[in-house]
Amino acid sequence: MSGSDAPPRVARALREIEAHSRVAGLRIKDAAWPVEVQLDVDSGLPSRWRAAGASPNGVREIEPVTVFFYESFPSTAPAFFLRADFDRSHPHIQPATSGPPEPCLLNGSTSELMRSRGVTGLIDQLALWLERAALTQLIDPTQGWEPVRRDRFDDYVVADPNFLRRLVEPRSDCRVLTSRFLSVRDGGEANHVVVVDEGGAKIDEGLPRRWSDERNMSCLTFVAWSGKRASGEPFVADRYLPESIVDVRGLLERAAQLGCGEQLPSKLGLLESRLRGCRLPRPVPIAIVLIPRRPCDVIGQGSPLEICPYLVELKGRDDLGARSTKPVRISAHFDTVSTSLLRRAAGEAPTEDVVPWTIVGCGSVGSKLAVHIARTGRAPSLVVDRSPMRPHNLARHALLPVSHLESALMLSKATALCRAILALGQPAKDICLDVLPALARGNSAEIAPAGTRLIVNATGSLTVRETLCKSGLSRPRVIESCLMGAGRIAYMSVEGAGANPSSLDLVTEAYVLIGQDEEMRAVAFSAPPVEIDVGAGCSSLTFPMSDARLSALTAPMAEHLARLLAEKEPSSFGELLIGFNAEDGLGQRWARRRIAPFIEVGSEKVSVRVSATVHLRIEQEVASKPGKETGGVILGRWSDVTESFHVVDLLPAPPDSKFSQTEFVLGVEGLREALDDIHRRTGGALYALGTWHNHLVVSPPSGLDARTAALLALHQFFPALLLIHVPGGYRILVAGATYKSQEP
Amino acid sequence: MVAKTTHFRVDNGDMSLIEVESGRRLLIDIDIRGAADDPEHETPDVASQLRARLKRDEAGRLYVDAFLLTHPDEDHCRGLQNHFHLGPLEDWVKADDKIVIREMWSSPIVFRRASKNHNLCDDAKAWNKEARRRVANVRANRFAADGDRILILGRDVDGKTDDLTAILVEVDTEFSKICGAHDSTFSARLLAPLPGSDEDEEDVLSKNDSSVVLNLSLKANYVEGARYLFGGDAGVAIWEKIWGRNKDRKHVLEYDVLLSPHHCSWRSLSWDSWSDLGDDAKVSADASDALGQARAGAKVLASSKPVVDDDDDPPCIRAKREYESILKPQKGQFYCIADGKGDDPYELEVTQGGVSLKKVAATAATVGSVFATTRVGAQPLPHG
Repeated sequence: MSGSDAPPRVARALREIEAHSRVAGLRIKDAAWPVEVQLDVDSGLPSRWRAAGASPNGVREIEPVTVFFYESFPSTAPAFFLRADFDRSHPHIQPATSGPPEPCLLNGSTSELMRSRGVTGLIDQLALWLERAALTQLIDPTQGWEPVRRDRFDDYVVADPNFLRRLVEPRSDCRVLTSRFLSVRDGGEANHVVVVDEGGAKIDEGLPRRWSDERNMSCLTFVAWSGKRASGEPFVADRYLPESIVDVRGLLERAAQLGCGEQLPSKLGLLESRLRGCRLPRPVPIAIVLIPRRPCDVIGQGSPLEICPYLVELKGRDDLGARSTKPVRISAHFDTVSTSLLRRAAGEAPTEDVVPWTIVGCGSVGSKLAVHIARTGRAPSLVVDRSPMRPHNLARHALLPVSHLESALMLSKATALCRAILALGQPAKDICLDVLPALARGNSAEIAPAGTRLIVNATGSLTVRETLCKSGLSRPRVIESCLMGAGRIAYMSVEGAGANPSSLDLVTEAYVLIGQDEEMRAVAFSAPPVEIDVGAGCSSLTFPMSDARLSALTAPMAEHLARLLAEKEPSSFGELLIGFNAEDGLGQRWARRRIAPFIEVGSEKVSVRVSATVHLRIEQEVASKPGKETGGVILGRWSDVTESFHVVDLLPAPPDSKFSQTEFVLGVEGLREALDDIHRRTGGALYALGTWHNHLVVSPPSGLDARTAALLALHQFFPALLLIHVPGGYRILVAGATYKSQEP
Repeated sequence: MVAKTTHFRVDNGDMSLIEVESGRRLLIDIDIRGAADDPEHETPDVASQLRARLKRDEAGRLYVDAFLLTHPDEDHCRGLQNHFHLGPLEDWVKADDKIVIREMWSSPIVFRRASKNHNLCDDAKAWNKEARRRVANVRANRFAADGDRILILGRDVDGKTDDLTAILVEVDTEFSKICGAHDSTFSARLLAPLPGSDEDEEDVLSKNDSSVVLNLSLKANYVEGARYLFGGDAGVAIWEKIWGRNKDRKHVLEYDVLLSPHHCSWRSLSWDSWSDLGDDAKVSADASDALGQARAGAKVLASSKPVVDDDDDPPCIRAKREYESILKPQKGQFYCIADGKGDDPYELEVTQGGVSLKKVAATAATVGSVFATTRVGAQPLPHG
């Protein structure tokens, strides 16, 4: 068979089609536009049906398929049609009422498919369609009910499917609901979107008057469902009927076939009588939703109640009776935005469980995190920020003002974010207060009411970080998320169970990690923030960077946060995630470290927290010098907010140190240089806190220890820590020097 | 998921992976030759092909739910020690990454001592040792967990299996238990091994004749989809016996797919030698009936080298002709696994209308989604 008579671009495609393993024959029936080609396609029947020549539902071993190539080919894909006697009641046939049956090959554009996979891709899809067509009708009910195929529609009915299903009672009935509509006229006919509200409506005498108002946007939705059979059993619509409704008469007949027809005619009759004497200034759509009960769950719906919406355009004096030929339009059902819809779209199970969590800080990072997560159906239940939206915030904030005027209004950031979350169908509460005073008093109930799983600190505030770590504050785990280094570095810390390691432990560890990376430390520890003028006499301390750059680093943190929110059991370990963006923004690398719980040594007044790594190194050093005291310098940070030391690194004893059975004397050789190096690498973020040494027996700090501590304290402005390792644990000695007024 | 079967390209050997609708995987025989493990060699890398089709458990171990060794010949168990974990599960080593056999399905031949008719290759010895370990464990504990489970398919001659009723499957019975759990998506009928009636006959029967013969029914959408008949290397004597026992209920021998016994050997269909007698060799009517219960559109597969018209056996051209005459009235198809292009195994999917060739890329292929695979000129579908 040759395609030489056809235009060259079609002939080329025909050669490819003929070579397809499923194409058994090809004939050109008309070489002029539109080029008509007859294909014999092997429908890939399984072995027993192939031997029989056809599947039980009539799909033949070899199916004739007519293909039309239009002049716009290859910009548009050819159209495929089946033989005229192909069973039209098949769920996967386009519900056309005239012309040859057309298979619905793809839930999308066949032209796009052809551009992506070539004309072979279309034939693959056609072959697959035929194969599935042979199998589908015999699907066992436990696989699910094939929803009625409804492919061509111009109108939409937007409703929460769970709400609609909850209306269904054992007795057949028809509920009328208030609804709103929007009409879009594109040239000829108007297309309508009907949004179903969850309140009941009355078809009262005032209706014609209300609908006669040009500004009217309200309409009605009629919901009718399958009730009981005369025998008292539930009515089950167990016959598959193709979508062929074109008018009110057909709709009412179908409603009766589906067991939904008892109350619907009288409700429509009432509406007809109300509108009998009136002409509407513009068409008002009404939605009619039939909910038949199927013998098994509808595929993808998790319920045997199938939702089939239709739309009728009313103009006044409409005939809505059993013999009416008034047109009925098949409408698509769209979910209202809901948790389960968002989760499904994000690729998660469409569950509705809620994990309460709080986001503190609704600036650019916080708003991005909250919106990313809200879009997966797991929005924060509480959003906290004390500041209002300022115009300069709009450069990077996740929310967009709907008008230029709104951009000038200074709505609270928390309130604005809260509204966005509510619009995504999820409950959230805003707190527009400075949370620090309450936290400083040890009260966290406001931002973390009982049951709160996580607090996300996206304030980028050192004060909030430290205040959240104050001892005695009862709170859930804190996850901190921020950017550093003028937007080049993303930082996320996840506390372990019981806030150990804490956010402060983790950030101190992070400084060690960053300090080890030459490229990253140069960026992290040297970028100064810039003041941006935002109005007369007003300025804001921030890092200038583009929204795109901020989003690039924030999105991976949102991904990780989503994982944490979905996890059932929190890890006992903490976690650090540090992302580094390339200078040109094209590429990023991430380090992810698990951090073991810190060892808590301390007294009532002061807390000393030693990282597991440091503890291990001390134990190893002690074990390497049996019978002698040893020691070194401890590095980390001191927080005066939490009165705590965070020990994350050690400097070994200088070579001139003295190790003996009774004492350890720290040498000085090279010590100054080593400390300077730490300072240089971490920009001062890590520093010497004091020293450590060990006692061979369990004993309290000695007099010598006390004198050393006092000496150290005089040389620094924060307390000096002497960490003493004794068999089975630690002893500490903290000495601090304070200001003494010079008495005359 | 859709039940599917994979038949690997192992020349004159057997290696099939059955994935039932519930997702359980049953491996029937292996022949992983040394050359197949050599990336430089052109022998298909069946070990990697197998591994790619298995799942890992929560501890990261690849596993098969069950491994049926039809009989302990090298071309049915080669590669066992190299690729499968043998011994207690706690001895599994991550670096070796061997495949865990949750449950062994073994013929009772593991209880026999070696004899002139019963010499074993190293892999077969390893199978026996592992089977004995598991049986001893069952005897001691009356319970076995995954990795220690075993089913003995068929009673042994001298009562050695009599105390093992919990793990014994009797010939001519059906079972649908795998790893201790009932699985409604398959059932298996055990047709053999059929021990000799006395020691003399037992001595005549070869290792081949100790083969497990299993008719496996796989469900598709909860109805029977396809039946597979696996016969190992059972010879004509066994097929005649099977016909004798089942001729009044021959439906139990029906198949949609037959893995022709002994790599399409004439010895499964006739007492005569093909190389000596050629076309004068006579078909055993009973064996032919036992292997002749093909359903409409059935496939007979030869897991062998290409079948050519020569004196070789197996595979034997005369056997192929015999199978073709069985298939003709049923509009069936004879197919030699070695005839496919490339290295890929032969894969079938089970539907309620029998078996069909696996789609080009059957993952999540539904109408409405793109299933076309990559090919020259294909480009990714962008999304905005």
